[in-house]
Amino acid sequence: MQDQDTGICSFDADSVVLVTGASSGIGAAIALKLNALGAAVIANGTNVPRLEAVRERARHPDRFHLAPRDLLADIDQLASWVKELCARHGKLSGLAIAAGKTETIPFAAYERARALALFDLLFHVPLEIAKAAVDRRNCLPGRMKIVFIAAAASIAPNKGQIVYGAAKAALACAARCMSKELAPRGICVNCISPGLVRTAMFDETVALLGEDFLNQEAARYPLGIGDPEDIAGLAAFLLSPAARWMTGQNLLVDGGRLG
Amino acid sequence: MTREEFLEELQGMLQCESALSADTVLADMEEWDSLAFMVLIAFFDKSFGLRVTFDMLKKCRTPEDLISLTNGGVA
Repeated sequence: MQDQDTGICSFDADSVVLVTGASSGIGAAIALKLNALGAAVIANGTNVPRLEAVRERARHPDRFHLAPRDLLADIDQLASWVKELCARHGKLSGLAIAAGKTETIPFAAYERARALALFDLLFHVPLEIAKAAVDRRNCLPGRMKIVFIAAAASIAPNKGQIVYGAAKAALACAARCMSKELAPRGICVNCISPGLVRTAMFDETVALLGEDFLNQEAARYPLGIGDPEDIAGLAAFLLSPAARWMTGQNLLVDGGRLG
Repeated sequence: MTREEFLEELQGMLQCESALSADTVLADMEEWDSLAFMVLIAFFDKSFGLRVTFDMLKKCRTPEDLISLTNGGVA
């Protein structure tokens, strides 16, 4: 259980957390933080060399398991994939969903087919994985904690975030509902909504929208633009036993931009 | 749907580790709760086109009673 001397949170030796999007950015930072705090991590990503590079930075590489998979490849099979991971690495004590991508699509360019594809990745995939993760046969009783990485856009979208923001808001709403349904089993479900964080996705956005966008945005962040580690600490706390009385929240972590 | 298939579906919906038999006492299972009722209501609708209610499900003591609710949908 909690050791008062190890800081805010720590993880029991039998803790197993599945982290999606762990090959870069916020997902990688969460996976490394959890691993350093003593949890076994199942790290999912699409790019094996990048996943291996993250594992090289892990404090306990023997407890850093790689689970490469393109989550969009066969959505209907995600449940059996999660089941196999649990059979191989142990029942889950936590799930962190950080896989995602951004698309800047102004309303004038909205297209249903493209929107559905983004909703698949940002909404349906997280729900499929979470549904399998909370299956009683796949998780440790009374221990399961889920963190979804949503986005500040779920609360205060910028221009061009019609679909991205809506998908993240839908996820946050679903998480809130899940928290009520799962609370009787001691399962906590929370969202973190980061503002701009320096990741590959951030670089992509800046490349697309230009340095002017970056300068304008940076001016709106009193504490500056974030780093993945700024999100990983909170995610680790929410996935730890210390957060047992906190559920159904969508936490805005945005360096003081405040929407 | 056969009885075996129904019991397998039920096990999946209730997410229990061990197989169910037709005379398992549902009330003894921690999985038998109002959320399970909601899942079963959707299942009866999708699989048998039947509308069942919380009250009907509450009265079921065993999977056998649930099978009876299918009006011959499980053979």
